[in-house]
Amino acid sequence: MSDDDEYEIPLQDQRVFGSGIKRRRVKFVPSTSGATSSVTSSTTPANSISDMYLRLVLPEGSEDDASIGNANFMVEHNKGEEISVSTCEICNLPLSSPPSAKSTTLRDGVADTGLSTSVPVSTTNPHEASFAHQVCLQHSHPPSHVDRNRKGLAYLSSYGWNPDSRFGLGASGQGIQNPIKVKPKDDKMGIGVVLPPESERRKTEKPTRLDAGKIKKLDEKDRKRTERLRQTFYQNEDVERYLGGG
Amino acid sequence: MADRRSELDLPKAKRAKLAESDPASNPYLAHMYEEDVGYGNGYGSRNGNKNGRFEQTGLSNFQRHASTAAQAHTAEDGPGNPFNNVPLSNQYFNILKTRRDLPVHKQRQEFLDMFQKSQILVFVGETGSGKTTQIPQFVLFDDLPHFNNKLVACTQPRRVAAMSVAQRVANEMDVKLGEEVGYSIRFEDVTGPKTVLKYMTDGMLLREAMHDHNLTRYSCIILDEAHERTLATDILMGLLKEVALRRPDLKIVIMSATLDAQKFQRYFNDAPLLAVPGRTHPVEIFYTPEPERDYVEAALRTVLQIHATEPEGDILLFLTGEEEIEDACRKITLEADEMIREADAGPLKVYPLYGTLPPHQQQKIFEPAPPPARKGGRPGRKVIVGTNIAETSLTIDGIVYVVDPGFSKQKVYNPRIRVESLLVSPISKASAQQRAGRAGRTRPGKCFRLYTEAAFKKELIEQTHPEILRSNLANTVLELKKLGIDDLVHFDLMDPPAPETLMRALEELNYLACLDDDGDLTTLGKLASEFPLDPALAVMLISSPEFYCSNEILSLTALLSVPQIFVRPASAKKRADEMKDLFAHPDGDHLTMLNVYHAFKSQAATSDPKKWCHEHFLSLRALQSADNVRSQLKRIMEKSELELVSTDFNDKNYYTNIRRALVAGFFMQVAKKDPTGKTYKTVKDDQSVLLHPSTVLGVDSDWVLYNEFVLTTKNYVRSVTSVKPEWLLDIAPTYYDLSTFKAGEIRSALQKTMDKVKRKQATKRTR
Ligand SMILES: Nc1ncnc2c1ncn2[C@@H]1O[C@H](COP(=O)(O)OP(=O)(O)O)[C@@H](O)[C@H]1O
Ligand SMILES: [Mg+2]
Ligand SMILES: [Zn+2]
Repeated sequence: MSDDDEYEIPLQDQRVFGSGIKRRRVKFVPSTSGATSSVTSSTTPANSISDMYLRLVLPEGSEDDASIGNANFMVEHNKGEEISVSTCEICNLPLSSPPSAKSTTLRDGVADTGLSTSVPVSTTNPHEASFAHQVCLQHSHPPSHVDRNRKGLAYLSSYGWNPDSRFGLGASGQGIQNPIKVKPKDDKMGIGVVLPPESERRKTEKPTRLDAGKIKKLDEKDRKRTERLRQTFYQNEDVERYLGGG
Repeated sequence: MADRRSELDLPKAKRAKLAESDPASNPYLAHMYEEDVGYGNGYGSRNGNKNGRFEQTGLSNFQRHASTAAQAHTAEDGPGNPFNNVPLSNQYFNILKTRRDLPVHKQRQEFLDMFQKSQILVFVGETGSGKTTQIPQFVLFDDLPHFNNKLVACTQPRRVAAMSVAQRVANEMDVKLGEEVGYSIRFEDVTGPKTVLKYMTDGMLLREAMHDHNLTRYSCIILDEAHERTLATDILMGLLKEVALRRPDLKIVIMSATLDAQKFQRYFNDAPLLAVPGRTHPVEIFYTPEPERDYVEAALRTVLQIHATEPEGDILLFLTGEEEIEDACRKITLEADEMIREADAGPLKVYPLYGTLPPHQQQKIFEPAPPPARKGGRPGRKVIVGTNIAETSLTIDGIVYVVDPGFSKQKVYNPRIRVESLLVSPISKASAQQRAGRAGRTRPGKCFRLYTEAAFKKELIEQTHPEILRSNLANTVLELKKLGIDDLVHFDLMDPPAPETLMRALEELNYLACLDDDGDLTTLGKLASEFPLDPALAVMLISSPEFYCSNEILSLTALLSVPQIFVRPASAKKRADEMKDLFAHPDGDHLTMLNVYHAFKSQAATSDPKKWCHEHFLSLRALQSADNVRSQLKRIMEKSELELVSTDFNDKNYYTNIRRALVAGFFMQVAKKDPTGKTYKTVKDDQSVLLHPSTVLGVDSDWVLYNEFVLTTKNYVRSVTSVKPEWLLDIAPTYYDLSTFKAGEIRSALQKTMDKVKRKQATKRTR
């Protein structure tokens, strides 16, 4: 019986499992983040999800007044800072930092390349050259791949949606821009099972002896695969025309 | 034949008539045209209590939207039923006692205060706190819909929940299901003239809104299980946001079981939020130290392990679908029997729970665990093996152990290849938390997760994506257009779908001639929206009289709308296949199904349908519900003045006509055999597919039409019928406009067909 080698549990436990399902025990370890962490308990009201809401809703919830006060204090503190330091309109970062040695060398470096010195670089505030500022600038993005002749697009455009705008649908264009993708699963493997990569699995395959016939067959298979690959790459009509085919 | 589209859009006198037909004859609108004599719920239109015809009830002196919890308490204590004055039963008082222990009860007054003050209210409470069963009753006592000839609606994402909860609340209110309390789900309406509280699927409420944009028959609408974020609930929320502005008198309650209630609050312009503390006990969470190779096997072993080693308490196991669940139930029962024989384990009762289960079987999950086999023996235990339904929709007391493999079946839609399918996918962290929570209803519990803690943290997403992001929206767009919402770009959805998905939907509807080139609803589109069916099915049904086979297509549509009719038990696959062969039609599965249905309606079967179905490996339940669906659809057809016709069975075109009618709806789901002869390629989308192993196809057909694309690591098409390419060109010329095809095998094959047809016509003409 193939099940015999599964016997690894104490005798007294063996009898309780039938023969159909393997008698190997499923081992479990407790959660590291505390037994009840993810589920609320009525005995510890302060931790309960519901109580969090009650605190939001009920004025009596006074225990966390302190923390609310704290938050307010922090907001005010931030405001105070804002007054004294002017911030950049584009990236909202403070503009206070004086031109650093580093940015000077950068400017020198640009000048060294022989570009005209009237290039805005020389007059630019070093802040504007900073990475943080640059990523906040508006870029022109490559246009969307959507086929402009689609009827569906015409409809959405007529209500003001622009495929190149990088906005989704919705009252404020907040919708997702691309459909959600999911990988199909048709096995019973549990979550987190990682199969050894293809290459390793192949290594364990037994080497087979080849004769002339087999080699010929393999050759044939290889050729077909190349053909198929070529097909996939070049089946595009435009490419084919461009290459002079069809 | 000329372009079918123009034929349908140039309305025959008859079609024009039905489009403008009297709204009073519309079943969805009937309530708007009722005279004061035949009121919707039999209580009188206004102030029924002053009407004289009505007895004084416990509610007679209640002031609408000014009642108190104390008043309600008194009215509930009887002696007469507050809604119909019938003396209250003992069972009523027993249940009443347990109801008053539910967490929501303590906040009844608080709920009323907020309900009376605001139009929209968000209500959060953990599963089991009493939201679904109690809140609608709290509303009834304050809103008094029966005095105003109105109803209270409470939506449920699942049919099972709507039915089961309605039954429970009918018991709680001591009334008969279908009278004061009823339910309404697709193809089944259990309500009556006295109904004041209606549990319904969210999809049904949406359908009603299509005919009554302001939902005027309701005084309060409760959207329950909003956290599930079903497609219909999301659309309803967008809609109710608008209706609330047009109808200041309408009260709206959004109920949710999870933390992201704040998201609902924000969405409804900072509506007030009421939270009820849960009554849950701590749940210990366990993980496996290593990932499991086979989650089903690990799940079964864990269940048996719990039964063998853990103290009293019921078990809830989450699996993904009917087949997996039924199989697991069988195996657990077998194993448990052996444990009882060999090791004197306690008795174990195993119950399946999934959406398509018949109601009486669903009710069984609430039965108590079996008693010990003999006095002093080990305690019995109940195991429920269910889908996601058990996550939040149904509350089952007594569960102490939860086994969570971490998967559920989820819908996904890929608009690029236009395939919607149910895939087994990992659940979200939020789902996992909900599942664990089920173990703490009665006392401290344990949750066994069949994955590692690292996998929980790394591989599970935070929240499940709302259904609207994972669905084909063709049907939704049709509904929205019917609801008068044209600006689909700015319609205020909580999570708007990807633009590409919406474009696909618009294009599909355009090809189906439900929308014209400007995106406006056509006559056909309006008519299609009357049917609670996917647009392709609806269009097929509506076009079927032109193919002289509307009777048959009606049967087929019904058969395609119910669960699988063929039964193929693992233990008798061969026998089942032989039986299926008795009905096989060489031209494919659709005609085979039709043969089954005709046989089912024949004398041989009707004398003892149960026995007949059993012998022929057919699902009596599925066939009976097909029968029911058929008669419902028939009623809509009659109302729409669509003729019910058949071709003479002895005519050689009997089956051809049916196959051609199929093309009228499913021309976008066609595949052509590859020159290699092994696989098929879907038209336009170029997906390689195989015929599903269950396919019955006696002829070697180059072109097939399919009902379903099954997405796995291999792609299958299921329920296929052989078709002819000339039909495609003839019946769906716009879709099969060759200039829209990529150069390739399919295009040249169609070109050849077209040339052949032209030659034939030419010779005909010269003759
Ligand atoms: N069909 C039923 N049979 C027996 N008891 C039920 C049934 N449905 C609900 N209950 C009881 O009512 C309680 C509240 O359930 P419910 O209103 O569904 O809670 P929620 O909607 O907050 O999850 C449950 O804890 C259970 O005790
Ligand atoms: Mg509920
Ligand atoms: Zn800046």
